[in-house]
Amino acid sequence: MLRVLRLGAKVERPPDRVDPLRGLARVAAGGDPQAERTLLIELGPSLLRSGRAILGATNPEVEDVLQESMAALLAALPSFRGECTVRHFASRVAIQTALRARRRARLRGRYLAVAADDELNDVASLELSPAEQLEAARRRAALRELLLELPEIHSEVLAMHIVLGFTIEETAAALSVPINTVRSRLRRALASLRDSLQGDPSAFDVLRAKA
Amino acid sequence: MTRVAAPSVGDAEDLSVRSRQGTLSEAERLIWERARAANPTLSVAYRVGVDFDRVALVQSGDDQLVARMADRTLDRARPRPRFVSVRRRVVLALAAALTVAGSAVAWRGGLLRRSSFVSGGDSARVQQPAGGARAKPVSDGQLLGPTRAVAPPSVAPPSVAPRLLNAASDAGRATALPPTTVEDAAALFGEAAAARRSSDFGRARLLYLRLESAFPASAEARLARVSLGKVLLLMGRASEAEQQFAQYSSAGGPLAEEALVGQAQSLARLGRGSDEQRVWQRLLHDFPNSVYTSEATQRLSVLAATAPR
Repeated sequence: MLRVLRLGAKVERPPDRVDPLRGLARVAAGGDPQAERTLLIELGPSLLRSGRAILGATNPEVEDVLQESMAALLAALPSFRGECTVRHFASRVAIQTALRARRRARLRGRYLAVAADDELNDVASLELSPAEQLEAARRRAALRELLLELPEIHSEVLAMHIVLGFTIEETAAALSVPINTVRSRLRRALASLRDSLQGDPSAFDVLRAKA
Repeated sequence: MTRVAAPSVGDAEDLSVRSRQGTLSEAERLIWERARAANPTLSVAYRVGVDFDRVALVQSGDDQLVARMADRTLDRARPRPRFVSVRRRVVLALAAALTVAGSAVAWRGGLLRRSSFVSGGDSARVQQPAGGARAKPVSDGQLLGPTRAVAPPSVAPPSVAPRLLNAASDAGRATALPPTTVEDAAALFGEAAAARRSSDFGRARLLYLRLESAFPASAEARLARVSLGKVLLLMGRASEAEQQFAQYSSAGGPLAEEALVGQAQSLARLGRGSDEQRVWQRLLHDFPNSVYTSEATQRLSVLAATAPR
């Protein structure tokens, strides 16, 4: 069962923007089939994006994880209290689902290393040289591996902030934890990331050169 | 002299995110650059974040994928109600047909018995006393008894059921008896949609094609062009898909936006860049607030970058 909400944790600065999906989510949580479908269609791209970010853009398990995320989201909707936007809530569900899928795949010993190579094709048209693309792919792979090594509370923060580009406030709201908790977790997770990349001298050299 | 306060780690992290989004002001950019230079960990985080931003997390055809997965998810969550209803319809039709056939045989059997009783031809005659004496009328119980026991269940099924089963199977392949009412168009459409949702694209294609040929003037047939186009696209038959979408686009309708997107995606598969470009431009012109705007813009920029100069 998803541990999407940690009750009792107080969010320091709840989002003050009006969430256009809040009403739809409430109706969907009540089991209205049309609302459920509309919500899934609306949030699907966000779920897909999160899944691809964690698994690799061309990982063949992306579709399964998308469907799993949708089912998990519907199951978790009744527990949604509106601490964050529905989209951020959905992204967190997708991240958890994708991380579980990767852990399962690793346990089965069939993690697909082809993902990184296929991503090279995706970025081939950009301004990076082939060597730079390879280095970027190596760093992404290092972070994805690290997400599996870290405790869940740290990997979630890292995935939301680094991979999906959530701000500290958005991450805190999505996790239903105080902002300072996010900062603390992020600091530890980033230290782990740095250590991990230092274990790969070529990748870290590139980082230092670019920094 | 004004000093720019050094940002806390949390603030710097947000600057990092906003830098990735390209939304920093000039002053913020200076603060961010300073923080980044002073903190190697922050620099690593930023660098990796940019690496992820470069990956194409949104791809052509995502909308179809999302819709398919949403339908599949909802189907599984609610034990596939539409599929069950289709199956139930077939079972009920079979049961009704068997009942009718059984009743007919029973009725015929009863008639025969009654007629043999009247004409004295069958077993009733055997029971007749010799010598032309008027036979004792057979009671209702005697008449119905053997009829019930013999005629319907044991006689009718072997002759009728296989034929009905074949018919049902044919209906499943969209090759059954020609539909005759407008309700059939709706049923065909529903059945095709169910097949599409369960990823039985071959069957869905046949049903949509049948709908288009049998009820060309129906609303369902018009809508079917878009649905069939999506099915064909998923089957890799981009050329046929493009024709379906184009026909719908030229006629217009509530799904015109979807049709244009499908047409553009088909043209992309076919490698017809200039045609694809025209369709995306038409989409942006006709539907400026479309949810596909970002996809259209992205594809147009890619097409512009790859166009021969």
